[in-house]
Amino acid sequence: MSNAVDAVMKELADLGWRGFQAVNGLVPDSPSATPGWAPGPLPKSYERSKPPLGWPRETDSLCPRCVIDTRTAIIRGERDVSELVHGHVGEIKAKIQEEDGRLYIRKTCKEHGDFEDLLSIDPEFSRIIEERYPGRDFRTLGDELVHRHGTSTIKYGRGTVLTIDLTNRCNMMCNPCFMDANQVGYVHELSMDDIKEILDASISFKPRRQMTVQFSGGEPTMSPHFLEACRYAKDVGYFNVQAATNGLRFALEPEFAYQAKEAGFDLAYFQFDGVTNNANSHRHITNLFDVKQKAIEVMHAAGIQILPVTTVVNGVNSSQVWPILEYSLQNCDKLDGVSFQPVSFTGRDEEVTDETRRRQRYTISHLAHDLARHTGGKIDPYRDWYPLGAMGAFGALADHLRSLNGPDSASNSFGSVGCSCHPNCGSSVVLVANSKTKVWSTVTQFFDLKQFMKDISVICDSARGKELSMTQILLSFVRNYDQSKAPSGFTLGEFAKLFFYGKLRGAMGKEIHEQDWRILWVGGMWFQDLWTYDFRRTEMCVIPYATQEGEISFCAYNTGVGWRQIVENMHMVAKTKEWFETRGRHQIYAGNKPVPLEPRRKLPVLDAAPVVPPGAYITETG
Amino acid sequence: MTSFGEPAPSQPASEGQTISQLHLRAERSTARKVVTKHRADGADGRWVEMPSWRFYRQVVRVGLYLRERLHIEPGDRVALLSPLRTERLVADWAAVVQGAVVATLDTRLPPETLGHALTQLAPKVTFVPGPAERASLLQLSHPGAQAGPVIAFDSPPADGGAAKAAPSEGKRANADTWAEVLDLGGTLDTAERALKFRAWARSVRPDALALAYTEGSNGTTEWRFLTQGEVLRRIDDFAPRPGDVAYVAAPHLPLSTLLALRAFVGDGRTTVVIGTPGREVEEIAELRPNLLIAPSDIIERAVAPRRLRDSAQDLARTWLKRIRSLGPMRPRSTPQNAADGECLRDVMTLDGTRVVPRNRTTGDAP
Repeated sequence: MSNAVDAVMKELADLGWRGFQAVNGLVPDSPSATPGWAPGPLPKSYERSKPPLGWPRETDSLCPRCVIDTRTAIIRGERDVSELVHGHVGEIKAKIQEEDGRLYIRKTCKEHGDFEDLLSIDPEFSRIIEERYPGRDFRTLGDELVHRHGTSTIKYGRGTVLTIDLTNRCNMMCNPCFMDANQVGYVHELSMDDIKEILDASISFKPRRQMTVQFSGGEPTMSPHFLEACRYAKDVGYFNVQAATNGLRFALEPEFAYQAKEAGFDLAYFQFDGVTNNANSHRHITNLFDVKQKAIEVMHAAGIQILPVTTVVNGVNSSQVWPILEYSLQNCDKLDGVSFQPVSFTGRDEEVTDETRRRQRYTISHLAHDLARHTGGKIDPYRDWYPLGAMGAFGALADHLRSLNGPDSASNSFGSVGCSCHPNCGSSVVLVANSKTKVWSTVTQFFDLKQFMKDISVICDSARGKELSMTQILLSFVRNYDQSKAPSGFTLGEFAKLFFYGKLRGAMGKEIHEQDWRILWVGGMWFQDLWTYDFRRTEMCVIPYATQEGEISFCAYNTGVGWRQIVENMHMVAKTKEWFETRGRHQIYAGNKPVPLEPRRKLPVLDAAPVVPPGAYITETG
Repeated sequence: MTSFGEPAPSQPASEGQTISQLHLRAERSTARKVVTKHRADGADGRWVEMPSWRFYRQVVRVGLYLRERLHIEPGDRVALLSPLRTERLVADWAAVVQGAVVATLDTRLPPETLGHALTQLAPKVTFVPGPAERASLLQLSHPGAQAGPVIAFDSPPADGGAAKAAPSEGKRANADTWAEVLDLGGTLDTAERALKFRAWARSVRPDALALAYTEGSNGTTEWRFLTQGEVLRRIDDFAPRPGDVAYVAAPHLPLSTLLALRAFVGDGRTTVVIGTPGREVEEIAELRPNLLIAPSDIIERAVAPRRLRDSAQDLARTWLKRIRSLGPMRPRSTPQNAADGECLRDVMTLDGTRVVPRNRTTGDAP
């Protein structure tokens, strides 16, 4: 009976939508609003540009050997950094082409010969991902002082995550480590004034969008300014503050988790390599998984969201892909999904041999097929995966709705989060899971996301008033929802709560409600390395590094020409040896030893407290 | 009227009860968002708040600095020669939580008496308000007077990049200013060091001396001491409730006020507002504190019944100010209705005399 009612609702909503559009299509589109945060009118879907997609295609790339030579020469002072800004150092053309059911990037350097690497093991999957890309964000305006990195300059949009390296010091000694923490012989650590300047500069141009500020490192919680930095990011106006952390500090010092939450810290982008101590052994801590579990417990108790992030290396930990996702599903009350990051050969790994690189290369298409195999097809590579840039459609809808509040409304001081990165940069699947029953499903199993995104484009393009826009959203939402394919116990009402209080409000920077059903994001973010480098991706990066030398594309900073080493050398605060002499050594957990986790005790807050013996370790508020 | 705060005969403290443990529990409770509040210098005079996360981090940083750089051990004396201010509260708390004895020096003492007091006390470090006070203390010529390293809360006026360069780019091991203390104490602000700080705090015994004071301001420098357990027992007399605001206007800090401050800072629930000299009555009307500690003349003006015309003027002034600043428009109380029990529960003069009975709102008499 219930199913019949749902089916009737769906049909009625579909009829309503079609009827509405029959009239709506006869009326010319209303002009788009121009909010104060934007460099121009909100773009219609047909006005959005796209990078060259499909294949075969030619693009601009880098010679893996020339780049390393040039970078080394700049750091030694033999060549000037301005060559990177005004020249085309190491740039060569590359071709992306399909061959034997695989997608390859190939390029030739006159000096160093041919280079080839794998981009996809399933061109059909890659084609679908590119097809679902809705288009770029605005071109940036007034950013000459922030984006000034020659051919690596970011040209589009505002981004989604603003990464700020607080320090290159770390309390672990991993292998691999893309930034060579503790190994480079100098300390690069931002002062609070540096952090303030960087955050102030980040809102100095248009579009001024909401972003997640992600403090990174090294281990960012080792910076003495970590808490102040969280607070200042919120003061500037950003709605979400994250840290890319290994979680050791939270496991060791639960008080710190509470203080961090109070200071504005929202989400731990949490290094997580596997669900056993053995699967973490390459981090050289024998009880690392136990430590991770402790950190999860502590952070969750303090109200900090947690998103595990796993670097996937083929043949090294690719077998952990499903166990990690399964762990997230089982702990979906505490974890918000998983971010898988197929390996990028950078830092110390730039010296990788061709044979090892071929053997260890892992792509988004590998991930999609691995998850399909482990779940018996429940996560379908062709139905369920969307480019990260597809989230830009929801950002556009949020922008449209907020613009209806009037140009001077306080809600218009920032645009919504606008993820519009290149479709080759990453893809994701959205799941719903019940934190009590552990039932889960992909959203796209019961919701026609592709059609919904088309409907959103119609709503934004026609740009009607608030009531008419909301009516269309509701009609589209209901007509694209199929109760017969939804997981057990999941209803349209639950989905509406998740969508309107979660997805859309999240994009608008509002609080997300707690409930049994949770949305989990399973992402694949594939950073470039010197072999896969594509300047069309760099120029529309949405996860820039904010540094003392402006904001630099993630890949241009960590790989590509390697701005990281150049910036850190320019702004190092001390040689490591001098630092240790004046500040003392920090603890590093390594050498295949365990982290000493103390037994847990409960302690009431104030009254009639039991005596705590010296050395006792307290982990929970009573 | 009841008086409290007078030194009472020592009694054995209940076992396990120390200020240090009170601190550890308060730190974990996160029951208050703001620990202290004071007006900024300058024309706008806005309120500056110290959130609890910052307060506790600074306590750890300063504590680590005292312990690791100055090698302060339990029982060592730390002198505070400063009027009430946020940094003073942090320094006091950081020292006492680790078992140091915090001695409050009266800022009104003439140089010779001050020298005599320092000779008796022999502090391992002294905190003063600014560079000028630091310079004069270092020049104190009293025989035997030792203030230890002297740290100024305010930094000297910045000239170019000099202030920024030291100590982060230099190789200094010790600090002259508060900013340097925070920097050097907390640069390696790691879990291990924070845990070490807490382990030290847990190891402090109830019979360890915690507070040194002199009675009156008549020139005597006879030091008296209270242990951790005694301090804790005396501050039990205060009964702040979650969310209480304690307004403290104290040009000098006698024992009763010091105890009250420890009660408010240590309970993890009370916000301490540091009054601005000359603006106390206005601020009390604006903030409607639940607990008030001030000299009797200020209390008289703020709490005693007043003429209707004055009240109306105060009310009008307050409203006009709020309208101008476009702040929240909820009605504010006047000193009168505050004193009538709308929110003010406890009022104490600096010498420890209560002028409004506790539980006024419930009609209980002391």
